[in-house]
Amino acid sequence: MKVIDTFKRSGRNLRQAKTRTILTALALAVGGFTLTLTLAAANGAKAYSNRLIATNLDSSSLIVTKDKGLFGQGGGVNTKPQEYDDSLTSLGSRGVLVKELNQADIDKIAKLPGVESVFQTYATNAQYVTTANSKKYTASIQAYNNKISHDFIAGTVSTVVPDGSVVIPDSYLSLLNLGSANQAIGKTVTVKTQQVTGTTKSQDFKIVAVLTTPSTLISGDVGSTLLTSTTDARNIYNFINSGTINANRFLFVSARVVNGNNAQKLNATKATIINAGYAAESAADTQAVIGQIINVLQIIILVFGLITLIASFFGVVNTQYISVLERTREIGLMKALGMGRRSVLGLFVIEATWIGFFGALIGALGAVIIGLSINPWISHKLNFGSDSLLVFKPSQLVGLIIFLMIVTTIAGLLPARSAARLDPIEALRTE
Amino acid sequence: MVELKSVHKVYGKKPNEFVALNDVSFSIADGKTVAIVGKSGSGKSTLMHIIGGLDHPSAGEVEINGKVLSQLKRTEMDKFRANDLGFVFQSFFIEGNQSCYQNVALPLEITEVPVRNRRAMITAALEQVELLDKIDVKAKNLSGGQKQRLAIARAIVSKPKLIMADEPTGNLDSATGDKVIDLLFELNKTLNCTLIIVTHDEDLAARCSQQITMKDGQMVSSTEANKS
Repeated sequence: MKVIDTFKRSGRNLRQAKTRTILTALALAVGGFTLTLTLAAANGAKAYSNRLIATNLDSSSLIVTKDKGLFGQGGGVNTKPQEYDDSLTSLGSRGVLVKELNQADIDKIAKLPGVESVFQTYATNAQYVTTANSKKYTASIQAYNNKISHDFIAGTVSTVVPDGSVVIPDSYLSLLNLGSANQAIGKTVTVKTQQVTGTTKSQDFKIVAVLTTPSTLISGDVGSTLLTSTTDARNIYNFINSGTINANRFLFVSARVVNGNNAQKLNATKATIINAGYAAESAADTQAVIGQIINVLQIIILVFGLITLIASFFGVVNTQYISVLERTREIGLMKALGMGRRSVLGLFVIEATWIGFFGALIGALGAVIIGLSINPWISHKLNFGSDSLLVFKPSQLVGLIIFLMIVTTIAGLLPARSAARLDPIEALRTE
Repeated sequence: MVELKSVHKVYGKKPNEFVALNDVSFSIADGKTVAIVGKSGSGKSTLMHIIGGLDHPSAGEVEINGKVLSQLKRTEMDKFRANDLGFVFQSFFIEGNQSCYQNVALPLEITEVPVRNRRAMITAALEQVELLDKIDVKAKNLSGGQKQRLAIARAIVSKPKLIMADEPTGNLDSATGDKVIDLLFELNKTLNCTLIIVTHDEDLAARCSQQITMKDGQMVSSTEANKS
C-alpha cells in the first residue's frame, strides 16, 4: 500500500469517527496547551531577565564591593563579634555590618591591570523634586551611566549628561505637570537635598531627555530615579553625606574593564580584582542567578505538562484499541484481500499521528490565542513594563507539534500491532 | 490450475484434536466453475480458507497456478492473495460509509496500482456488475443484491485468475440470489477465470461444471458434469 493511500484512508477513518477523534485530540490538546504556555512563559522570563540586565547593568563592567557577603560568597552575617575594621558600616536597622569601599580602595582598583576606570553612581536620595506648578515628589539621584541601555522617548544623551541637566523617567511627566515627553525637554525641575544637620540646598536642573520607566529594578527604585552628570551626582552625594559615616565610602562601585565585552578579558580582570581582596561580579553572573531561578520554575511547570501528556498518551492508546476492536472485520477483510502486516500497521499508526497533529495544533493555537489575549493584562499585573510574560516562538510551536506527533505515533504502535496481527479468518467469522 | 494433494487440517492438540480436513485431494482445471457442497461442519469453509491462502494445511500440499502455497513467505502469500484471488463473502463485507468507488479501490490500493490507472479499472468493474450509476453512492445506501454485486466488482477489479465465493447468496432472497449467481457465471466466461463457490444450495451446485462434496472433513465425491 502506498503512503499516500495510507494517509488518505486513515484520514477518512478519522472523519468517520469524528466525535472520538475530536475528543482524543482534545485530551492531547491539554498537554499541548500546557507545554506551549510553559515554553512561552520561559521565553518571556528569559527575555525579561535579559532586558533587566541590559537596563540595569553594564555587561562590560564588573560590580566591585569590599564585602564578599554581598554576593553570597561568605561573610556578611555576623554570628559573633568581629574585629573592628575602619571600613565597617551598618546596613539598615538590624545592625548588619558590611565593609565599604573608601577612596583608597577605589584608587587601588582603578590601577589594577585590565581596569579602564572606576565608575560610581553616587546613588542617593533627594528630599524631593518639584516644579513651580506641581506638588513635591520623592526622588533618588544617580549619575548617568552610558554603558547601560536606556530607552529614550524624548531627547537623547550623547555619552554624558551635561552638568546642570537631568534625565527623568516618564513617571514624573504628569506628576510634575510637564506635559508630554517632548514638551518636557528644556523645562526645569528643582531638586531639594538635606544634610543630617538639617541644612538644605535647592538646585535647578534642565531636562534633556525622558526615559520610559525601566522595565524593572535591580538596584533601588528606578521608576523615581533622576539621572545627572557624574559631577552633579557626586556633589549631591557628598553634600548629603557630609559628616556621616557614608561620606566618601561606597557599598559598590562599577569597574569598567578594557575590552570588557570579551568574556575572557572580563573574567581575567574579575580574578585580578578578587585577588586584590575585593568581591566582583559581572552582569553575566547576576544573569546566571536569575536564569537558574527561571530554569527551576520552568522545569516544574514542564513536569506538569509532561504528566498531562502521559495521560493523553494512554488516552490515545485506549482510543486506538477501541478503534481496532470496532474495525475488526474491516481489518480482516483488508488482510484477506492481501494487505500486508506493515500496511495495516501503518494505517493505524498514521491515524494516531493525525490525532497527535490535530491535538497539538488545537493545544498550541489555543495557547497562543489565549496567551496573546491575556498577555497585556498579566504583564501589567506583574509590572513587566514593556515586556510580555508570554513570548511565542514559531519554531518552538512547530517543534512541539512534531514532538506530540511522535508521542502519539508511539502511542499508536501497540494497538496498530494488534491490528496487524489479527487473523483474517477469526476477524471475518460472521457469527 | 488448482491442485490439492492429500491435504489434512487438524485443530487443537492430541486428546482434544479435531480433524477438519482428512486427506483431501482434487484438481480443478482453469476456467471451470466448481461448487464445494456439504453440511455445516463438513470442512468446506476450512477447505476454502486453505485454497485462499488464509489458513495453512497441517499436512499435504496446495498448488495454485504453479505456486506451492506452503512454500510462500507471508509477504508473498499476501501478494498472491492480492493479485491472483478474488473473494466474495456471504455477508458482503463492504464499507458502508465509503462510496462504491472507494470500496472497489481497496484492492488497487493494496496492489499499489498507480492512481491514474485506477478510475478506468474501477469503472470497468462497476460496469460489469451494472453499478456504474452508483459509483459515488455510499455503499450503505445500496440494496442487498447491489451490495453483493459491489463486492463482486471489488473481487474482479484486479483481474484475478481465481474467484472464491463463500455462500454468495446466503444473505439474499432467491430472486436476487439468482441474479448474483448469473453474474458470477457470466464473469467466469467473459473474464475466463476459475470460479469456486462454497454453498449448500443444491440447485446452484448443479449449475457448476464440477461438484466437490464434503462430509466430516473428507471428500465424498468429485463429479464433473457433462455440460459446460
